[in-house]
Parts: sequence; C-alpha cells; structure tokens
Amino acid sequence: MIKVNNLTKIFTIGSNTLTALKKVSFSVSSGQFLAITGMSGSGKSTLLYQLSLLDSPNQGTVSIENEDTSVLTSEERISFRLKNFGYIFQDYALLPMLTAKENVMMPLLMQGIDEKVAQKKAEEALSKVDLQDRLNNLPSQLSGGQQQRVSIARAIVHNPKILFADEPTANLDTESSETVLDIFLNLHKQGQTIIMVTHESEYAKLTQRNIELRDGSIINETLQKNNR
Amino acid sequence: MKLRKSLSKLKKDIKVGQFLAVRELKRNNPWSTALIIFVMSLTFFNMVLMGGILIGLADGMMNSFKTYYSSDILIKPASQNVSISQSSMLDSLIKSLPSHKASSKRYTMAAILENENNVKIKDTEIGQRVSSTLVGINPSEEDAVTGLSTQIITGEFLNDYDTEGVVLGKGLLAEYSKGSSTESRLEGVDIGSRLKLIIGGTSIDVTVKGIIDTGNSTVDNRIFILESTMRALTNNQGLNVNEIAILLNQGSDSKEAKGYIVDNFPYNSDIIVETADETLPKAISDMKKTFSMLGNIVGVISLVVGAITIFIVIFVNAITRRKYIGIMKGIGISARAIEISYVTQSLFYALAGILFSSFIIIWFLAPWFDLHPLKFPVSEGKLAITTSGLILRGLILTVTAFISGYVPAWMVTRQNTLDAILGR
Repeated sequence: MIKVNNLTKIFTIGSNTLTALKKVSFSVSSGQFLAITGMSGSGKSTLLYQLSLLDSPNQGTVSIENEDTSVLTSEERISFRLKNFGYIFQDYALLPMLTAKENVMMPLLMQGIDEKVAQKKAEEALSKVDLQDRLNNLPSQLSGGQQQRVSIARAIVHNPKILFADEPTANLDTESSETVLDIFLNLHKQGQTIIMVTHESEYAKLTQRNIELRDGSIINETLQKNNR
Repeated sequence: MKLRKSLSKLKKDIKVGQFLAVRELKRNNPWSTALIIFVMSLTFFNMVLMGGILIGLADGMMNSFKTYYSSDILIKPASQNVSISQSSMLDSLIKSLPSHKASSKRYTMAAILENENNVKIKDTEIGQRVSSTLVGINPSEEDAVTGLSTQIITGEFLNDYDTEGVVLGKGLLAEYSKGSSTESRLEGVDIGSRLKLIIGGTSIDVTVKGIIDTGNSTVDNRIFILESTMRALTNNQGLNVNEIAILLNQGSDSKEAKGYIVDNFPYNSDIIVETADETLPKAISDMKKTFSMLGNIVGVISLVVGAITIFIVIFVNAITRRKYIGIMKGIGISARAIEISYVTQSLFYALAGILFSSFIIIWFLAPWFDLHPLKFPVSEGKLAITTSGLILRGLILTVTAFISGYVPAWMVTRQNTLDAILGR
C-alpha cells in the first residue's frame, strides 16, 4: 500500500546541512499498525511528514497504492490528504473557534457532505472515542486527553485509508495515553492502517510492527508476535 | 466535465469557508468585532458625508438660484437692448407653452436705498446708503414662480395694494447679514422703517414691509416693489420688462420649452432665453465640480484608511492563526476555503459598517440636515446623498474589503503547510 524508496531529506540551515533521512526504504501493507520509534532527532517525525505529504523529500519517492506522490502539486496534496489520510498531531491541533463536533465535521464538509449528515457522522465518531457528552464544548473547555480524542475522531470520521499519528500520547498522562492506545488498537482490529511515531517503547510494543530510526537511517525492524 | 468539477469544488470551498467564517465571527471577542465595524462605519461616513456636504453646498447654491431667481427658464434682453422688446407678445407666447405653469415679468433698475433716520457722521459710513437692484413685480405672479413669500423671515410679502411698500433682501441690512459681506449695508432698518428710494434724479419714501432670506446672494441683495409703483417712479409708459422667469410643470423638458420660445418668437434675436442650468454663473458650476473633486479625494483617502484597517485586521488574524491555517491545510481543507473564510469575515465587517452608517445617514443625518441646513454665506448646505451614490460607495467599500481581506489570507495560506504547523 505504501512504498518508500530511497527517501532522503536534507535541511539547510545557513551554510550547514543536516541529513535527517538517509535513503530510507520500506513498505507498509494495508491494515498494518506500524510504530516508528527512535531517540529525539532520529528523524522519525521527519519521516512521518514525508509519508503524510506534509513535506517533500529531497530524493526518493513515496508511493501510495501505486501512485507516485512526488508529482502532486500543493493543492493536489491537500486534496490527496483529505481523501486518503487522517492525521493526529502531538498537540491535538484542534481549531479553537470550533466546538468538538464542528472540528470533527471539517473533513466531511470539505468532502462536500451535507452539513446535517456531517453532524450525524461527527457525533458517531465522537461516540467511538467516548465523547458523546462533549459535542458542543470548545477545545479550551476540554482536558488534554479529551482534546486528543477529538483529534482522533476528526482523523477517522471520513474513513481514511491511512491514519498518521505524531507522538499522540506525548502530552498525555498515563490513563489518557492508554485510552488513546486502546482506541488505536480497536481501529487496527477493524482493519485501519495506522502509522504512529512514538518515543515510548512500551506503546510501540503494542503495535504490529516497529521501525527504529537513528540518525536518519533504519537501524532495526521488529514484528510483534502479539499482533497480527 | 472539468468545469463541472471545478464548480463543485468551488461550491464546497465556499460552504466550508462560510462555515469557518460564521464560527469565527460568532466566537470572536464581541468588542473587537464592534470596534472593527465601527471603524468601517466611520470609513463609510467619511466617504459619504464629506462629499455629500460639499456637493450639498454647491447643490444648495444651484437650487436656490433656480428656485428663487431664474426658475426653469429666464428670459433677458440681448446685450444691445435694455429691455425685452415686444414683452406682451412674448408673454402671450409663454402662456401658450404646453408646459407653462407660471411666469413672472420683472422690471429691473439700479437704485439707491437711503436710511435718512440714521445720522451720518461720514459720507462713507456703513449703513446709511446702499446701492442695489430694484425689481418691480406683480406679487402674485412672482410668488407663483419663485414662492418668495415663503422666504419672508420677518414682516410680510407685498400685496397688490402696497404702493409704498418694499421687500428687502437680507443682504442689504446689517442686522440680518452680519459678517456675510464687506459691502455697505443699512443699519437700524426693520419692518415699518421709512427709507428713501432714489432712482436717477427721482426719489420716493417707501416703507419696509418684509425681509427675505432665500440663501441666494443675487435675490438677497434686491429690493422688491410693486411694478405699478416702479413704472410710475420711472415714468415708464411701455410694457417692456427686463426679465421674465418661467416655471414649467414638473417633469417638463426646459430645453424643449426654450426651443418652443426661440422658434416661435419673431424677435428672438433681441432676447436671451436660458434654461436654469445655462443661467447659472460659471463660478457656481465650477465650484460644484471642485467640491465634487474634493469630496472624492476625501472619499478615496477614507477608502485607503478603511482598506488598510481591514488588511491589518485580517493579516494580524491570519498571522496569529498561521499554525491553525497550517493544520487546516494538513487535514485537507483547501487554501481557497480558508481564503474564502477570511474574505467572508472582511465582507461582514464592511457590510455591517455600511449598513450601520447608511441607517444613521438615511434615518438621522439626512433629515437632520434638511431641518438644520449648514449656513454658508453664499448658500445653505444640505446633505446631497442619492441612493445610487450610497450604493456606489457601498460597492466600492465592499470591493475594497474583499481585496483587503483576500490579500493577507492569500499571503498566509501560500506558506508551507508544515512550516505553518511547526511555527517555523
């Protein structure tokens, strides 16, 4: 489903260059729950940005369902993300002027779905993350864990092919983190492809497959036995 | 097929843009929203009011000139003649005009008015003598054309038996026109004052019956007397007059009426027939053009200020929400939908400002100016505002708001999505 080939990302800061990813290659099959781990600065978030088309590599390609994404224009990337991806940010990234329900409705509205239908689907998505009683709360009226659950609901409401999560538990307490992981595991059981960046090895172990990065290269790859 | 797809995408973008804009406006600080709308109102006020007052002043001058002096058509003798030849024949022709409503024949002559009751200290002393134009009229005819009786500020208008009475324009009297002219004016004159009227070597005593204030300096510096008294005074046996003012039925074409008179009067080379616009002194029409230009300049300056205000508001808003704009793009919301959201907000500010100030202008300011016109030495200034003028200025401000809202939103949405999200 996802094929990464010789992916290289170089950052230029003044006269200095930093190679964040060095010819990384791997593939992810449909329905897989993949964790990308590594120390801070290992390149895991940079890799996620390339996979989710939020950034462009200097070299190499990312093909999704045999479509080479490097040829897409900026607007086409936005449209591609809307159609195929759900994205969960580390800091939740909810729009502050929208309620929980309205935040979740956004991808649906952008897909041209009728507002009433979008409302219903958003309510269903929020029920899945156990937030049916917080529909009309603004992000500022929710706890960190609740905001992250809204973010998950927003990411899954339009049934994306791939769910990307960038350190989704980094800002959460243990209880909230476990709730988020439970949601991911449930989604995975339902066949959702998930690619999660995390620096917490115990959460990575819960996934199906783990890719470990160091200095921009894959140094280890493991398949968990307790997952399919 | 491609067009249909583009339209469908545009429809989606508009829907999402409006959805975001409505929520943003609803959950904004109401005081901030009120302040921006207030600034937009002031911008629109400036665009409309300054020009309106300046043009209103010029219009006031033109209207008072037409209403109280020339009416729709004014006939004067050609430059080589003192009076209008064959005035009676011309009068009959005028009355046969299909659009004729009323007409007034006027005898005019230079005269001096002297207040003998005031003791002269020096010959040059202001207030003792004043030179003016004496106008002999039929009061009812004149009133039917110019409605001068309605402009009496004290006393009464002439009637057919006021053989010794005069009506004076306020410009001749010091007490009624303080500071409005440097020319000599009579002092200590009021209703009932006895004055000496001197024409050439002849003089008679007259009584002040009324004082008029039309706002038109030509009329307000005239002396009105019965035509019979004037003819007796000047020993004028003929019936040739010096001016004929014609009032036409409402909606009539004055150029057509002028053509009718010129074409049918055999002595047309002895007269000058002018419509109200043609009679206007060039200075007044030039003044109107200048005032219009000044009004437009003030309007453009206001527009620029308004545009900069909206630009700053939207730019600051977009810059401070740069991260969220990045997130929106990250989750698949198109740049155009985000731009539409900001444009919708700026249009809301502009339209709310326009509606608020239009309401104040139409329901409060315009009626207030009608009741309390600004008093200028040359005329009264009302607010010259037309519906089309308001709509045009409203449209200009709306288009400006559109551009001022779009440009900053465009600038911010064009930035790299990831840089915006990460705040780089």
